[in-house]
Amino acid sequence: MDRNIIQEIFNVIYKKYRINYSKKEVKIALIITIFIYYIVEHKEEYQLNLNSILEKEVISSLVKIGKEGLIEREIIKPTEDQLKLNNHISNVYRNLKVIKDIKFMEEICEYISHYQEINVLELVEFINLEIEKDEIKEGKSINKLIKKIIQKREESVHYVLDNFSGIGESIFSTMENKLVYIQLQDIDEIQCAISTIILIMYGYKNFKVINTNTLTYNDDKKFDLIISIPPLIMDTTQIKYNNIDNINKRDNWGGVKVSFEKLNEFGEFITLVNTGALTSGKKADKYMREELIKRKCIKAIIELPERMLNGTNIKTSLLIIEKKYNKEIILINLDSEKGQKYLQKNPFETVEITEEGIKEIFEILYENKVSEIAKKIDKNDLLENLELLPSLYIFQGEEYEYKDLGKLKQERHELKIEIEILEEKYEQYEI
Amino acid sequence: MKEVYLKEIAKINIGISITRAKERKYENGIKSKFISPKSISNNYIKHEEIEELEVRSTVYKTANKTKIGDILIKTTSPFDTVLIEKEDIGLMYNSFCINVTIVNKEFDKKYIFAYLNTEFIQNKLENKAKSYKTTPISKKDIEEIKIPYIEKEKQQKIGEMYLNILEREKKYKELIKNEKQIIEAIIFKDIILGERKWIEI
Repeated sequence: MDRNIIQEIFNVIYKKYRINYSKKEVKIALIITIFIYYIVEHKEEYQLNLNSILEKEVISSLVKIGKEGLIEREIIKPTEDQLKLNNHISNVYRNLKVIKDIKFMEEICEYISHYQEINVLELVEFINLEIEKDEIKEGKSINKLIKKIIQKREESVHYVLDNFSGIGESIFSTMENKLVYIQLQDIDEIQCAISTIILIMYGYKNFKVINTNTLTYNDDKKFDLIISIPPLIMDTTQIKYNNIDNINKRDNWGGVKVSFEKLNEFGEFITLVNTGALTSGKKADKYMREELIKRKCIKAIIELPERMLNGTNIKTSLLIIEKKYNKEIILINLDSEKGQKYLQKNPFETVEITEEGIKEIFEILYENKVSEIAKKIDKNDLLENLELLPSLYIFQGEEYEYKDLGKLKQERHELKIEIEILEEKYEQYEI
Repeated sequence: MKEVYLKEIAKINIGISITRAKERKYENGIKSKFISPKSISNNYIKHEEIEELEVRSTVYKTANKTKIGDILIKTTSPFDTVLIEKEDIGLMYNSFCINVTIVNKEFDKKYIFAYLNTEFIQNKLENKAKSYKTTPISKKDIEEIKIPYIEKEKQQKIGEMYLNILEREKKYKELIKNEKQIIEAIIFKDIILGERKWIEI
């Protein structure tokens, strides 16, 4: 079953049911149904208690279509993980009213039953592209960049955390190594359940999905790598930082602070923040910038242009933070005139970093390449004004290309002669 | 004074729609350069804004392309016009551009070009556009522009004078830019070439 077929099924069903259900609801119902088929096909491998997974109505509709062996399966002592999976999936069912609509589900099942083989990767790509397309999410090229950074330190990565995981796209598209321990955290129950489904279908074995508020959750676990793409408009009013009472609702640093504390001794932390937080005068932002600069933990800040994310024009920056000592901070500005050559528009009209751009950034970060879009700053220079916005340091004045004064004067002389000739010519026209 | 409709003395064509061309890939597609409204500015073609898109070979063969002496008009405000010169021939144009090819030998193309750029015509088009609110002006609006007939020799002189003005306008702009660069060079000379010295105040 490839993406086009899934898309086709979706179109047919959505056209018919769009008065009752939103696009997202139909897509999730479709994907979960495909997942059930997938589980049925791989029942030996998963040993799941399918009776408890499914609501009775759904089972009966599936039976009607004649998918054999689904209910009769004998349960052979489900393991703890399997029970957790069951819980996750039943959560999805409890929360989605569409699933309880028998007629609707029957129709989906009927369409799907025409197709026997399910291509898991195609399905995941479909989820990534379609389910979240209308929402704020990281652009694909950012994931490519993160993937390259992760590959650089792959050997030392054993524990990975994505603390604002959503459906887990950042992990699926960046972590190639399926043997590492992965922990996903998200406040949304359904997103957690879907990410569990995808993790299973993608072949990850060692993972934990926690349905929690990352900003308040603490399990004392430390990680080698944290990928954190927080919702860019985040409510952090419920936690209090040291000495700070007035936490702004759009404060990005809540997530940064929590993640930083979860890093182990040599850990690395990659996050996307609202660019405003790098320069704003808000007390909380300023305090956290000071903390990070003092702790000498920022490795690099990459300022990204607008329209990097689907569904929003918000300007963001990628922060790379290491627990170990970094005397200098690498600042990269892609949102400059010179950074333009490393950007391109994708079919969704959002902006992407080109392959060449990703290579350039990687070389700046790890091979000490001197580039016109980057600059190294000593942390002592930053302590004074606490500004972390790259474009404040890689500014136009330093890009001034000196032009020879004599040459410019010669050009001026020539232009004046040309104008004189034109003026003389104009005078000759007599009407 | 005698007046004629533009449609009586010229062939007027609207460009082709390219919205689909951006997404599709054709088997025997031909890469073609497209002029869009953003590539026309101040009576000149901005070559850096010309898009290259793949179009079906049949479309490419039948579509109108720019010829020397054609006048291209933007159908959205401001209604910039451009006189096609040697380096801009053979380009396709999108549906937001109207191409005027003068076929009547009694009329000089440079004169028509100058006339279309007069404030009188520009205001007229502006008013038409305002009445449509959101849609651009149509081919019919261009066809129905009335052109005053004057002696051919006079037309030619007016045309030449107008081009001379445009040429001078361009040179004046270059001159101002050059003079600003001279000022910058004087300011930055010491910083770039000499030793940078800070004075404590």
